[in-house]
Amino acid sequence: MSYFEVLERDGPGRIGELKCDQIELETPCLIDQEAKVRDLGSLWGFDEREISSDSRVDFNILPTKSTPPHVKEEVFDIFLKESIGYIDELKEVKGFNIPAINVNKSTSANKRELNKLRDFKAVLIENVDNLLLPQELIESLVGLKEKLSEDTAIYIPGAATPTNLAILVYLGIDLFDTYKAKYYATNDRYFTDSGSINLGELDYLPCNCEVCRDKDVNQLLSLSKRKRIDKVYRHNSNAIKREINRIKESLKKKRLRELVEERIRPDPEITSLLKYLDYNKQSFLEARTAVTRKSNLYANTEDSLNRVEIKRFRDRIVNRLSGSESDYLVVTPCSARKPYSFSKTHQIIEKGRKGRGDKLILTSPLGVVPSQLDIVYPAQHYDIPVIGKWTENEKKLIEKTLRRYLIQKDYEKILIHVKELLREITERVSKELGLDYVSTSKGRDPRDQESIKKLRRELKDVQKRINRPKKIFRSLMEYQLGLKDLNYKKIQVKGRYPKYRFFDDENQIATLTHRYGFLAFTLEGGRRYIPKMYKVKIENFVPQGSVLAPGVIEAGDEIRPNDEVLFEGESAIGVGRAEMSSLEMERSNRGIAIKVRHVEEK
Amino acid sequence: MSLNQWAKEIRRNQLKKEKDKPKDKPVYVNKSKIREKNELINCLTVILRTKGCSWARESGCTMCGYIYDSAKEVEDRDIFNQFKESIKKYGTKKPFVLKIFTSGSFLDKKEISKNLRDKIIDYIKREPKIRKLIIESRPEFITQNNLMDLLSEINKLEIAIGLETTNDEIRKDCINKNFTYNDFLKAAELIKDHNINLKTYLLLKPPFLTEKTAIEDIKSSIDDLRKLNVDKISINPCNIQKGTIVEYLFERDEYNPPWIWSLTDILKEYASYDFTLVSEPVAGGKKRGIHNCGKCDNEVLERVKDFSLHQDQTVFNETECECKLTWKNYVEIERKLHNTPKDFRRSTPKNK
Ligand code: SF4
Ligand SMILES: [Zn+2]
Ligand SMILES: [Zn+2]
Repeated sequence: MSYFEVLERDGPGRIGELKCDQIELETPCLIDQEAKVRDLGSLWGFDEREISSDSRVDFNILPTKSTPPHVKEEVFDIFLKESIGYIDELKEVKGFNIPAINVNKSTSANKRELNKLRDFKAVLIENVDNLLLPQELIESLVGLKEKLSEDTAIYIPGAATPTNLAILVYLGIDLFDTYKAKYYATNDRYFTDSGSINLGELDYLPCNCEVCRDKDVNQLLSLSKRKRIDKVYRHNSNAIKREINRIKESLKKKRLRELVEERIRPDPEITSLLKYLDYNKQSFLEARTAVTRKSNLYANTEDSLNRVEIKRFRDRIVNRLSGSESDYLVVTPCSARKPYSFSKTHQIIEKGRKGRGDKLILTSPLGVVPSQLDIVYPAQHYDIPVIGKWTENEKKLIEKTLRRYLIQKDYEKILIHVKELLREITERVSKELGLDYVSTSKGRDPRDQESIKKLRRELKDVQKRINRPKKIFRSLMEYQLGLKDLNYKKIQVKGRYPKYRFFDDENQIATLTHRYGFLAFTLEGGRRYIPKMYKVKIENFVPQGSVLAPGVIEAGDEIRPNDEVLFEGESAIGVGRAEMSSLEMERSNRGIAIKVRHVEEK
Repeated sequence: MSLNQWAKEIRRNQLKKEKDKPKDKPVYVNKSKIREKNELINCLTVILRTKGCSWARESGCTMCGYIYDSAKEVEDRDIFNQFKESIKKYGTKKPFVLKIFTSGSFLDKKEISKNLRDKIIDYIKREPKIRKLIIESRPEFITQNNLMDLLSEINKLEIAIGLETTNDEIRKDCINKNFTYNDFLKAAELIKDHNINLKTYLLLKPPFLTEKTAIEDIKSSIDDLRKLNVDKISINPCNIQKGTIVEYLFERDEYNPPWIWSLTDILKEYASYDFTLVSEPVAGGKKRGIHNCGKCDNEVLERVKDFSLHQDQTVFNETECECKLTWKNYVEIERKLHNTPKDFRRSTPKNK
């Protein structure tokens, strides 16, 4: 039996298990180091009789007519078709076969031939190292990924370096090798963290692996060519092995994106890959990115502003959150301490606000955070480098998000309780939208006595205090499930913030998981509230512990890893947490789709 | 779009850029020595400027840019003058072998009309120092009639055919040659029937092949040709000619010219058979031609030349260079990379 199963995900990146009769690999890995791989070579001059039944081979790479990526598209297609056509003729070849597909700048996702590859547990993609332009590489890889089944391991040969591995794994590539490491060693190219360098240009060995330890450059240079290749190859392999472990570690800790942002820095070409991906393939990333994750989000670079989690937050508070609770909106600054409501600054501001008027926090990179959502992921889970000044991009982003937010809501008056720069932005936006506004901390610190007094004075006519627990419930139902116009008047809230439990006619429907700020539903709550886009139709069985992907018939479009879902089949109904996105639930034949929390036989 | 049409498109674009060539000057005239029946003899090579290879005018081979040497308006009179002047200027006192090439096929009447051909042959016949005539032609022009015409006038003749490989799939997919091995076999039979010498060109490393497949292809081609009793096999390492598919790929780092080590590997293996095995690389040692690391190129190419003249494989005995190991690894690893590796051959580390 052979299979590939995804065990852990972080965005499109994954840790998986590739199994064939004799061997079991944990991916991402270097396939040539862990298994015996036989490349059957080119179809030009190919002699089928040469395929002996070598029993010591774990993987066969099937033969192809490979042409480089910039060959005229139609010519390229002819050879691609021939190569894929040949796969059928090789069915007899024993063992685990990996077909090789060629990509070029326009390998589109709608080539019919590619369907033939769906049954394979692993597929090799050729030529990736020759695709220099980010749009070529990203378009062809993402196009192929979308065409192949989610439980197909993707192998990119001859490409892995310490710099590009992280982003390749992030794109959902599983298998690599040390062939480029060897080719580079053969040419005296030494892998470094920022690429590779000719051994002769190096002054110091920036490495402490078993090869480089206690050696200097001249010692390596004075070795015979054969020995030198051997040593540099070992160093190069060590460098990528180390990187693979780092990647796996961050994948497990759900910090792969942070690693990618760190790795791409030294190499402009790879940096532009991430940029292209963020700008043009947002839906590919979004469809695979969890709604919450274990680790904090370090928005360290400008690239972080475009991260899925951050964009998703901005989009949801603008599009999913319904109208205002009050006619007044108090615009406040952010704090280092999260959730904001626990911070010193906000406790001081509360002396003036006293629970009146809606409260909004201006911040980067999220733009704006409605205060009732300050514990929801990633509002209480991010960190940014603070230098006391906003960058131009951050300013633009705050202004843009604030405008988008205010257009959707219907406030009558904006009380601007922030420092100078943000005040100017808020005033400008309010004026533009024709909203009445007043600046309550103009020329002063928002925490200043005078500022607080002014805020209190401005709010003196407002009698109604916001029922914060209920408001949190309502906003979360909107933010998390996309529900609108929910009647929540009869909802009761028990417990101390943030450990809330929510009841509806004496039935508990949900608890607030304070770690991610998401609602976890009881079966009753799920049944009453979870809408179609978070429902999963399953086969006729009663799941125990988990629902496996093959048991899923249909999954609501919006489901992402860690979402709360309601599953239902002919004989059971239940609630649980999604382990994969809807796309993967529908397209995978292996792996846990949902971890069950409550299930009931029908 | 097939390979055929792509070649045509590239050709058309390049032709637009080309200036008109002088009608009265041949493309190339040069004196050298060649090996004939165990002796070295002077050789005069003349490449006449014609209207160009008919196949190239229609589409052309992936590596061949000879068409850009042609002249649109050239007439019989001009070509005959090119020929006559070359012989007069360069003809030696001693006997010599005359190679008349056309960047196409000498027997193609669109390039050399029947009338012109007769005139040239007539001239050669009256020049006693010319021991032998060597011409090139695609197989479709090697007909009974054409051969009889030549033979009635000239007694020592050699015809060279650019077969490139005995593998039809490679010739079609990678070279776009537009004839089959069978076409070649028929032409070869005719040639042998008329007791004419047959020389066959093989192309080392057409585009899309790895170095390893390319070497294997030449070897299996030689194995095939041995059975046919060819007189001479000449290996042409692919070089980068302008306005070709090969150049298009080379400029995008998607084609690397072959290694000289690949050539010597083949020459050594087939040194002691009963045909003459030669190679006269174009652009040898240059970036756009067959090359090694840059340090050993001249030396090794000198040996190739030696070998071509003397057929003695011991000339390769002492050729060694660090880069031979690089080549070995390259051959072994290239396919596994599944991409076109960067050509690092010109950058070797300096010792500090
Ligand atoms: S290689 Fe020969 S047949 Fe091909 S285009 Fe050139 S001249 Fe013509
Ligand atoms: Zn090292
Ligand atoms: Zn060398």
